[in-house]
Amino acid sequence: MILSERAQFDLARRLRSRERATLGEVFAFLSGLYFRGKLAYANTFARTAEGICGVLVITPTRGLVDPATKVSLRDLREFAEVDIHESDPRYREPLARDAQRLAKKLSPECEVVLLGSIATGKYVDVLLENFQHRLRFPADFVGRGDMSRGGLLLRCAVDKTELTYISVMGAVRSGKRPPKLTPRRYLKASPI
Amino acid sequence: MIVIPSRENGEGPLQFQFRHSTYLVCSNRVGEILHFVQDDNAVAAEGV
Repeated sequence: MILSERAQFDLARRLRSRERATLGEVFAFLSGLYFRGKLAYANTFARTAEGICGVLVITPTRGLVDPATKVSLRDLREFAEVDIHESDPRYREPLARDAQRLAKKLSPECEVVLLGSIATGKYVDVLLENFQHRLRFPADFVGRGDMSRGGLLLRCAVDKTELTYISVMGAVRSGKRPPKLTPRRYLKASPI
Repeated sequence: MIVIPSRENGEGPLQFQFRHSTYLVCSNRVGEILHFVQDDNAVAAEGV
């Protein structure tokens, strides 16, 4: 629907116009819980040195992108063409390039938190090469599926409670599924 | 872990870790949705 030339809602109209829309709002629209939770969490807790973006989206074809970057329908169609897989150079090469650049810019005490799957090599392979011991992930991710992670991060952002991270290097990346989160409702007016 | 029990702007407590962090947000599920939506549009355009 968002890619349709006939779609009339505000976001779809902006994507077709010169105004465009931000990567963050488009992705959050496409996956309300999964992506929105991650983005809200990252925006709540990111703290970086001046000149470095604290939140970056791992995209299918453009490497690491600031979620405030404006995108068009053409960009989204490009993303749709490529699966995120470590063996696909269209995904891997831009990510490796940007990860290398970021690793050079970060101070030694700065850590990089991956809000994504660590069970496969699609993110971890490229990122570990560049960030090594600085690459961390939320310990509570182990054993959770994508949607459960999104839900967990959304409630942590709302509660302003940051999770504990552990190093990806040498970590046990899969484990027993934790208990389900208790359902929670959010008001539409919520800023998250 | 740093805990600020209450803040001047009236917001509730904030709990965070005191260090610089950059967050990398993955989007594989979004890519899958885009792929599906694009396929769906192609089918619609062909009038199937």
